[in-house]
Amino acid sequence: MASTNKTPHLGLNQWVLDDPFLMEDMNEDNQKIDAAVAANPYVKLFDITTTADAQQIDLDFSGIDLFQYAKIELFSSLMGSLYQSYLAILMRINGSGGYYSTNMYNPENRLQNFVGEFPRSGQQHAYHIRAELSGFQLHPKAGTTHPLSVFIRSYGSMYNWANAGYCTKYMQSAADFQSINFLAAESAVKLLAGSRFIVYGVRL
Amino acid sequence: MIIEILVCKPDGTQMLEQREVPDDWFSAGEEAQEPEDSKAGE
Repeated sequence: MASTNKTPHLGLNQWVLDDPFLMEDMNEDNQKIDAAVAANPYVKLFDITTTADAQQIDLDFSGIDLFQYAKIELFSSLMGSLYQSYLAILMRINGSGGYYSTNMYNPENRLQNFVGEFPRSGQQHAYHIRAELSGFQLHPKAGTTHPLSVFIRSYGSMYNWANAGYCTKYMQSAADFQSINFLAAESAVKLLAGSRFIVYGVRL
Repeated sequence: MIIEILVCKPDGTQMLEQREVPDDWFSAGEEAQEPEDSKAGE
């Protein structure tokens, strides 16, 4: 006999003193928990707090199969070594930029050498970065010229508002996606230790 | 020029590398027109 009470979401056993405590019930609960975890589409791919200052920080995606993800979400709080009112943090993919889509402030598509540009936060040299990347699946009828278009939506990129928001990065396949890079738009600036990067993958 | 890059892997390991990059590496760059054959969507 199972327990008298059940949890509201997964129906896990909640025993009272008179209930028999059976191995089958415990195994059934564990299977429900395991299935629920497997059904969660969110996978934490990175959670890193940097331990050294550097002019550039690379998140290495070379061992991650992005083909199985609908999108990835990136959050970061990082600090630069130098305060300058105009200084922005640039985000690149594989060390290069992409094309910015047409919008009312950017009437023609533009190629730039970043895929996201983030302003400092308030009067400090701290930066709060948020971006979403999607489009890792290759259509079976895609041609050979720029078959994969990774779409980058960056938030808070209002320092240069003509470049804010939407960007496309062309590549041959998701396997070509090797790294996301962060650097200040000035070589004298180091990104300080203690900066944190969190990346979630949302499974298909 | 040579710069210091902190390479972070999903397993949490971090490695500080030195890499040679072009002198304009830190520039946000000049805008360039997209080639007609690779026009991005709106």
